[in-house]
Amino acid sequence: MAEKDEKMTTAEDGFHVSDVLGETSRRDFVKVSMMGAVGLTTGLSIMKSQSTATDATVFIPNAKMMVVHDPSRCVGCRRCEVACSLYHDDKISVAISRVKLSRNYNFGPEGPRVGYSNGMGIFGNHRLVADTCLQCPHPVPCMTACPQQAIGVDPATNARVIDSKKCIGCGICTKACPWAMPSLDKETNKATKCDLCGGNPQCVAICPSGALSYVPWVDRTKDQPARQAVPAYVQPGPGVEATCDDCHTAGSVASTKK
Amino acid sequence: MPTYGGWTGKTLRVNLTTGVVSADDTIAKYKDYVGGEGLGLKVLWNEVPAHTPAFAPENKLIIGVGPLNGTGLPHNGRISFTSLLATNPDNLPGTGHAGGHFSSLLKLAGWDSIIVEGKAPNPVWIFVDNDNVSIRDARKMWGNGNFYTNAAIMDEVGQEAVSVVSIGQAGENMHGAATAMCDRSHSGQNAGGIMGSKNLKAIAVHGTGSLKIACTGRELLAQIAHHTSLVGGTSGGMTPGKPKPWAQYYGGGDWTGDPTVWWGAACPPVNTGMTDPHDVHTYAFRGPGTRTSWNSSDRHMKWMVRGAACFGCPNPCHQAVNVPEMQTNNGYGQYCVNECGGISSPSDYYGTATTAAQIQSLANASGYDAPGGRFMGSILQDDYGIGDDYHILTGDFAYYSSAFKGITKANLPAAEYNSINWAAQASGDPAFMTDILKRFAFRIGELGYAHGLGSKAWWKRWGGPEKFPYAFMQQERAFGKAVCWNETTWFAPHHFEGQQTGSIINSMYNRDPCMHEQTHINGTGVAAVDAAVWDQIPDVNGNPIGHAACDPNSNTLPWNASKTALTVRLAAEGVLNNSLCQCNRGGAAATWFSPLAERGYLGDSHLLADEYSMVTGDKQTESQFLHTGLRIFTLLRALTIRGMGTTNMIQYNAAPANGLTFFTGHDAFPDAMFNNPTFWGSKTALTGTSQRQDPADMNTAVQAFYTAMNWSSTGAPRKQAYLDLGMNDVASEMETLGLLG
Repeated sequence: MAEKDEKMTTAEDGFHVSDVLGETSRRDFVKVSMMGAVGLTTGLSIMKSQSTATDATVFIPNAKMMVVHDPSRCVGCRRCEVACSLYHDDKISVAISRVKLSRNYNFGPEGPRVGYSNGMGIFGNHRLVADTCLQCPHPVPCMTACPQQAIGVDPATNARVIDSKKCIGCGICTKACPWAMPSLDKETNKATKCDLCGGNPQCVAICPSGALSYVPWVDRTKDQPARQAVPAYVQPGPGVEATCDDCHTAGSVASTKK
Repeated sequence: MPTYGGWTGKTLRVNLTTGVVSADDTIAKYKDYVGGEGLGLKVLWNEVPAHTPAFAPENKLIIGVGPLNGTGLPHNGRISFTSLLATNPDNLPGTGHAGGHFSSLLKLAGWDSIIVEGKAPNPVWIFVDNDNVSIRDARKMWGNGNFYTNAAIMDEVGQEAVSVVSIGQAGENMHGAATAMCDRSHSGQNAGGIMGSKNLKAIAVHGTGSLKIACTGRELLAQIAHHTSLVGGTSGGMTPGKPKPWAQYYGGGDWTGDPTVWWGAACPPVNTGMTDPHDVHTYAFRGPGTRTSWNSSDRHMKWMVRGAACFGCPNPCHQAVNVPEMQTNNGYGQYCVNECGGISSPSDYYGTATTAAQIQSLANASGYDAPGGRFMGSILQDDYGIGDDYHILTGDFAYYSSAFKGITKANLPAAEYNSINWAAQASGDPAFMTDILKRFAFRIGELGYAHGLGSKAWWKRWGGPEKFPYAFMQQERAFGKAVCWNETTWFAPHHFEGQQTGSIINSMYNRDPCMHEQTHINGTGVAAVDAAVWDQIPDVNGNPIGHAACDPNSNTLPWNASKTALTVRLAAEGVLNNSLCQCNRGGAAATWFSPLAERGYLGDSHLLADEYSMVTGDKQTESQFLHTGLRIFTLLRALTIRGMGTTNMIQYNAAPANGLTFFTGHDAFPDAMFNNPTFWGSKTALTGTSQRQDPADMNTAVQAFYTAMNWSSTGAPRKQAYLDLGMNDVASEMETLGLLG
């Protein structure tokens, strides 16, 4: 995990990400946000501490960087998946790799179907797609759904990262992500997701064709087709929903309420 | 009991007769033979008696996987299929090899290898779902090709972390050279018929577990990076084909990436670029490219979609192509993928065309600008699961079917002969592939039946030694695609590999073993530079082999002691490749050199030993690990001798009478190596002007090899040879059988 930013405040009972405005009152913050403060884009959320009486202000800044995959260059070697699990987990496992080629390798994202010879994958037109974490802007689905508030932000990259000490292996994050990017390691009972390797993504480093690139973040959540439907039982973690009204009022920006 | 990384510790055993699934302790039973081919040979030694027919239920198929599969180390994406060979006249043991991803996913599912025994009452497939193994009904899939089989299985179990070894119709019909195929284009020859004989349609693995290693993940990543930095082109050449600003030398083979070369059918097209070896992101662009095996000029790169890699491979050799005319003209599909041989070999069926210009002429005559027969043939061979025993059956067909020989015509019923689309053969039309390959896969008619017997049995059926003495055949057979015959086997001439070493190793096997160890030590092509590297390569005992082992430009010079040492080392290294399982194209001996001028073009000859040691935790020095390889190689020898029931593996006749050959016996070297105008023209042997060999020199060479191995003058290991390698059980049985050297 990256070292904590000096500005980050942590409480025993929750996870607070970097407080970019420093000490401020909630009312002042709301005023600032309504004016569209510089530096704050759509990556804005408020999560209240679970036990403090005062309203601590928490932001989810956008990721600074992200990993993207270019299918025109991918040769399907899976070195990316190997590097990911070796670097993080001291073992090789494509299932928990945070970059995901294995599920598209044979028949493309659509899977086997009539007409597969013209679909993607090695049994089709040879085009290989590896899925990479979109490092979603607010509201971050996996972060919002985690009942342990175990998913936060790495200040080095603003990647959305799992604190494995808090993770209880419930697997809700794997269901909450429309792109099915988090995985559950059944051997450790911990979830895994892309953390950008602290700023030096190993999958990018090892790729022999330059199919993977480490690039400035852009919001791809609007154009990237979802891979799974998020089940209705996936809800924001306890205490999260109550904080949404701190910024969102009825009739303003889209509510995160169900 | 120490615990190891790399191995999972469990080898899967499936008895198709009883339906019993069990696990062998890999370490207790097979560790000394590493895995892959070594493990397979040990199973055959322990459990399959000599003279067992290849297609009998008593035969076993071992899908062999080794401790480095699944680690992501470069070139460790191979798999070995070991069994008795149906196309070998005595059904002797042998191994087909393939690449792909199955072996690595099997490791991630928690298994080291799979032993298949018995025969199922009805067609079945095996599902290895991590720890849960089940035998399932395959009657619906039976009769379909490999592509459908993969789709049907993955439709049922999903595709993520799934790989399938399957047979097509050729294996179902027990074609002797039928393949077991995995991952769309990776085929192990000879295994398909064995699976068909067992009613085994496919094995699917779902591997969502993990592979543990003895070192840390970051240590292995560092080793992966080190190994990657040393690889050259896809066949071991250490210089780029065309001049580059970063390169001191150029002219190497299989390193075709260049700013003038594009993956033209990628979307968008991708330029292969400068391929500087200091930039890891360019490795994948070195190899697959303007291979003369499937195209005749750079403009054909318009069909190239991408390289297609095995698990963990940084410089893929398979080439995925998109030729739309195949769909519009032939209606079968437009996407083809394979490596050079898999795409080039089908064109051999056309017979008369052997040069690029001839092939292009035929292609033009067929109406579109493509060597379409190659691509169509490759697709069909992959789907039907049909092999050609490394260009042998294709060449046989071309020879027998040629107009001036008329052998096919003489042996087929008139109706069958006339039903074949010979006009398509003459014009180079891909429709010929659609016709002829179906006959082979389904064993249709006399032609389909004979082709599936394999080269030797086919020759015997259509005339044999009475009509076509094999000395005569060795000269005649040079027609079209060259092949070299001897009494018991055959191999492609480039497996001579330019000097005596490759010929000796190849002759020890029971099929063409595709032993490219020698070929893939290409170096820079600059004699003085290469010699300096050669002087630093140790033999199996740690002493420098010496640069006298290497004939400059692969043109043969007389045998010498350095070549003896080299041959022994390559014999060991080859089986280690097949046991780990590692590709010998860009790994193993190919990394004795590197493309790095700052290293003096030196690679790392102890890569295999280092990687085995760090992954498993079983520390072996380079010399120790090479002796492990010699153990595996010697076990194959014992199996061969036991299977043949003789210790007389070679006879040399310095002055053969007319119609006889210089060498006879299992290890015989084909006369074509010494005496064939098609190959050698007027070149004199051993003058460094060609790869022409001399029989007396080959006899000296093979005797020196036998001596170095502590084998008799007829090629049988002596008792001490077995004992020195810890093969006490083998020594004891061979002594009982009276088969010691």
